[in-house]
Amino acid sequence: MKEIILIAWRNLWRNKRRTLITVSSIFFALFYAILMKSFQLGTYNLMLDNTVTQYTGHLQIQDKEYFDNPSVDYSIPFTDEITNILDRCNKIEYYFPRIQTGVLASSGANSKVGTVMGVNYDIETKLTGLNNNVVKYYLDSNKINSIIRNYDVYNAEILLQFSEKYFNNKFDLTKELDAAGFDTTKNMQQIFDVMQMPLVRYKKYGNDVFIGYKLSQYLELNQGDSIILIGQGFEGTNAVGKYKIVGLLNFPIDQMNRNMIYMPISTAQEFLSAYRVNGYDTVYYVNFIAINTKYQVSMRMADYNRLLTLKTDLENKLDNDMLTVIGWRNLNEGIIETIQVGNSKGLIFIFILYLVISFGILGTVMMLLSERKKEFGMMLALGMRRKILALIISLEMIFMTLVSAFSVFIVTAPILILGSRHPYKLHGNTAEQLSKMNMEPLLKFQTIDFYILDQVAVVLVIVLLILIYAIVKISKLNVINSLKS
Amino acid sequence: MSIIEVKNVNKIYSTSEVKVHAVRGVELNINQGEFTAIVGPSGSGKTTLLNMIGGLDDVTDGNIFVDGTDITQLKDSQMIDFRMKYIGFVFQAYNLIPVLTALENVEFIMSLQGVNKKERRQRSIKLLEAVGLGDRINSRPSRLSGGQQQRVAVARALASKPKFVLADEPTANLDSVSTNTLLEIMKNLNEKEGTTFVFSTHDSRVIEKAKRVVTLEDGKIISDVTK
Ligand SMILES: Nc1ncnc2c1ncn2[C@@H]1O[C@H](COP(=O)(O)OP(=O)(O)O)[C@@H](O)[C@H]1O
Ligand SMILES: [Mg+2]
Repeated sequence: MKEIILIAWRNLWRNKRRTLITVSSIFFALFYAILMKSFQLGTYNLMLDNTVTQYTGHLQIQDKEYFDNPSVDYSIPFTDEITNILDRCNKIEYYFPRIQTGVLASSGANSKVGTVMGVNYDIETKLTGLNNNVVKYYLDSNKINSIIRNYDVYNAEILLQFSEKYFNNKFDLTKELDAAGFDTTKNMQQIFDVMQMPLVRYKKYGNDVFIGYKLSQYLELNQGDSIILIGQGFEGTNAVGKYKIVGLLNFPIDQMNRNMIYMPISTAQEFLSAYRVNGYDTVYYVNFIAINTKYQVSMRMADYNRLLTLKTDLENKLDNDMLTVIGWRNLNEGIIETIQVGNSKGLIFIFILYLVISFGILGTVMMLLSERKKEFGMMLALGMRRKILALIISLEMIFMTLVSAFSVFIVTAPILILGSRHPYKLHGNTAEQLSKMNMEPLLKFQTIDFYILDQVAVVLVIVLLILIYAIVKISKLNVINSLKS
Repeated sequence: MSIIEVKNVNKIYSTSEVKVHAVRGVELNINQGEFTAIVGPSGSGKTTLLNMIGGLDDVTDGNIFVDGTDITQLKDSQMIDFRMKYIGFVFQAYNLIPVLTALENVEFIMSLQGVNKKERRQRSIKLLEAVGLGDRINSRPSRLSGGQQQRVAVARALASKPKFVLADEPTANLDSVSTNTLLEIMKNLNEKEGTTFVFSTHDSRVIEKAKRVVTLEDGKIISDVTK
């Protein structure tokens, strides 16, 4: 056995170039497969997790009719009876009632369709970091001119790049200015003061609203202005209201910048007359109650099935013919479709990649077999069994695969670990494209898990198939012909 | 007693166009300790005959007994084992595993036979010394001359303590000095150790060294002379 390992090992060094080609073929197959899959899984899971956790919830309690007909009329009462059930379920992390309805938003001559989101600002801040999306800095040509006039800044024209941009709270303005080449050592406080939006002070139970900055641009409204909302209220009432804008919002998802109007859920209930008075009691209504659970949101069916068990459980406890519980897969069909299309596109790419690389490896193995034909013939003539010959070739392939796998591990592990801990924020065109597709412009990697290793398995199967080809060739080798070749 | 008995062996190669009757009704007995040359012009059937004796090629009809075993009845895998145990081979060229040193090449066949390491090493060194390569045991084949490679091949052929050594034109690629050296070594081993050699050649200088000369023509034995 030792001799056989020795022969296999030395054979690797016989034709260094061929060994290198084979090793790098396997390396790149593994490298791309792992990176692709990890990036895809990471990004999709992030996208899913964001949307599901922040907007739809893992589960929703709805009126039976609401899913097909999302009108205010199919709202549900938000009662102690329901909250008691939810509070007592230990699989639930938290829940948030929502009102979400289409309205016409207008100011003066302009009007546009928007979406009213009646939320609890506290929960929303915890959940989606709504406060981080509030626009903090804004520059326009007037402000830039005043900076140039009043402060001793020699390269103020750099600020022009930042004109008409809405920077939300997450944004590190100093860093961005620095990166653009702006002199941030002088007068920064004054410049910030000029750029800063008027201080936002909202009352938790007040009637003030936040709107997406693109909606504000369209309606030519600013912070502090009033917005008029017209919609269809509960049970045929007219919903009309005039609200003060306390802040503009800049979301990573573009669609939301164009149509979101956030208000406290109580304000939304008043606006839509979403309540019923029974004698002395008033029961308030919400469109649905979103629930976030302890379960992970992912494309894996196993994860989802666990959630479905909880769904059935909740439905039984609610014991109300009018109510239904819906899982996030049904609530996010669009995103799931996007992911599946993306997945199959990725599959085609990976398939082509594997095909090319398979032929690469196959080519080197065929070369190897024909080069050594005479030698194999001699070895067989001497009394070496075909099994041992096959073992030598197998060992060579195994060595090459191990070297490739090891290098891939060394190279990809840091990328995956870094890329999963610190999602890379995209800028420029790609970011805009993604944003238009309602995706967050983030590149995230998934650390190694079973679903990435299945790609590794595919590569190993390819190597194995090629190895089997080689073994079949060896077993069919004719001693005389090989010796004469 | 004959170590090799070839009984009325025929070999017909049939391709789609032609049939070549390469060996015709050959009868041949070779005894232990002989030093036999199979001679004849190119195409006379020397390689075919040796290959059949070595179990590398099938007979079309007839039987070949090696040490009493009819090798024409053995299956492929049995034949491989049989070759390893009973027959030593020296080919015209490409005899050695290129990634192994001279010593490792000689040892290798013994390790396939399961000979222990110490004995392997001792015997290999002794054999390499016997073929005059005691000082080149750690060289790879690519660092050896053609003649030296053939001498390693002889040492390797003897390593498994075979019943006889088959050598198909072992000197075909060698110059006259190397040819002479190789033949002297083979003859020495034959005389001192009693090793049976059967080799083919069409080189008259080699023929002179043989004790028995079997001449083939068109696949038939036309003369069989023992000096
Ligand atoms: N595989 C084969 N297929 C067809 N004909 C063959 C084959 N091998 C050898 N022959 C023919 O058999 C005859 C004997 O060949 P060979 O034994 O190689 O002769 P020698 O070794 O004496 O030169 C030749 O005519 C040769 O062309
Ligand atoms: Mg020949």
